[in-house]
Amino acid sequence: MGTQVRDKSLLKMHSTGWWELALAERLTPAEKHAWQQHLATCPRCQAEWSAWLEVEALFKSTPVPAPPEGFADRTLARLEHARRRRYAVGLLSAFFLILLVWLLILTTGSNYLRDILNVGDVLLTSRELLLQTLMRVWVSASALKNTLLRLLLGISALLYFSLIFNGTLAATATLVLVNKRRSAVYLE
Amino acid sequence: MEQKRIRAAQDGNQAAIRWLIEEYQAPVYALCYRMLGTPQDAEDAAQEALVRGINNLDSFDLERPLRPWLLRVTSNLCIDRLRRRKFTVSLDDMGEDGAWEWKAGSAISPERHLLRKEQAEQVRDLLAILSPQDRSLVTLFYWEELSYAEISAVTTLTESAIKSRLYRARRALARELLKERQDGHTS
Repeated sequence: MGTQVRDKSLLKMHSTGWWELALAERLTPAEKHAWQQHLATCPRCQAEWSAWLEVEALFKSTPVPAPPEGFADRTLARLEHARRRRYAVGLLSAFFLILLVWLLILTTGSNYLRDILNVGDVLLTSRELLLQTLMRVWVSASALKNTLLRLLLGISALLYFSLIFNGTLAATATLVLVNKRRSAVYLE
Repeated sequence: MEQKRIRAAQDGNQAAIRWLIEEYQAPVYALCYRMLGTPQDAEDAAQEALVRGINNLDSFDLERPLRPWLLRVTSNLCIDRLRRRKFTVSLDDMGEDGAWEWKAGSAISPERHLLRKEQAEQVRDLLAILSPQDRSLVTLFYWEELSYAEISAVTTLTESAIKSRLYRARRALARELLKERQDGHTS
């Protein structure tokens, strides 16, 4: 391109393309010369161009504002505060979520809750039955003189009484042992 | 080295977090100052931007440079704040908030200080006519001295869009200056 004026369309010196090139200092020497001549004869362009250069000079000479003293320390303190707040908000949200779920269960899920409570009732009322079964198994185990079995039965009985609140674990252990006893009888 | 420190900051290492704040406080604060116009707003926004950046470091891609990412967080925050409030300029603010205030014993003379203060006021008045996004572009271009490609990484605009918007913004600034001068002559 050298000293040539690059494009006829850019010769329209009021065009955006020309101004962009002029501002980016990408005009060729020939174009620069043409531009200077134009500025000397066009007061509108000259006024705007000088204002443009003034803005450029103003921005380039205005120093970058520096952060005030202690800025980093204050930012660190704010970061810590933000983290604590986030943690507290997390805890509070979890609490309210649990509360909400509980309220939902109490209101819309009350039927399901009743069913669950009924299971508990059944377990408690069948306590007598479970105890009887346990005693029968205990007698059978004694007859077999299986000490290990007796020990296991003792543990399950202990579990039953300690977890009498629902008796589930003891009932499970009892059932397992009853099954074992049946197998033993079958093998005999 | 920087990656190592950023990784440590991601893991909550306090020394690495302090390093990160000290390293990036200047560009973040400068952007906030130019965008929002007062030291108080700039400090508040810069702190919030850094806190947000650090709290969201997990989402930062370690393969990329941190500066554009952090400046994007800052720019978005400032644009949000500007949209929420009308940008008002009060010449009285400058003296009260201490920005560019000359202090006895400081390296620059009172005359130079006064000149800087006037410059800062003029810059602030000019930037106030731009939209928040254009103000961000102009600030990134002049004071953060980012290339078009880097501004593109910060703003997610294409390079040609940035060139075009910057051109329009600068022309608007020149015309505003011209208008001010003409108003000064007529009054």
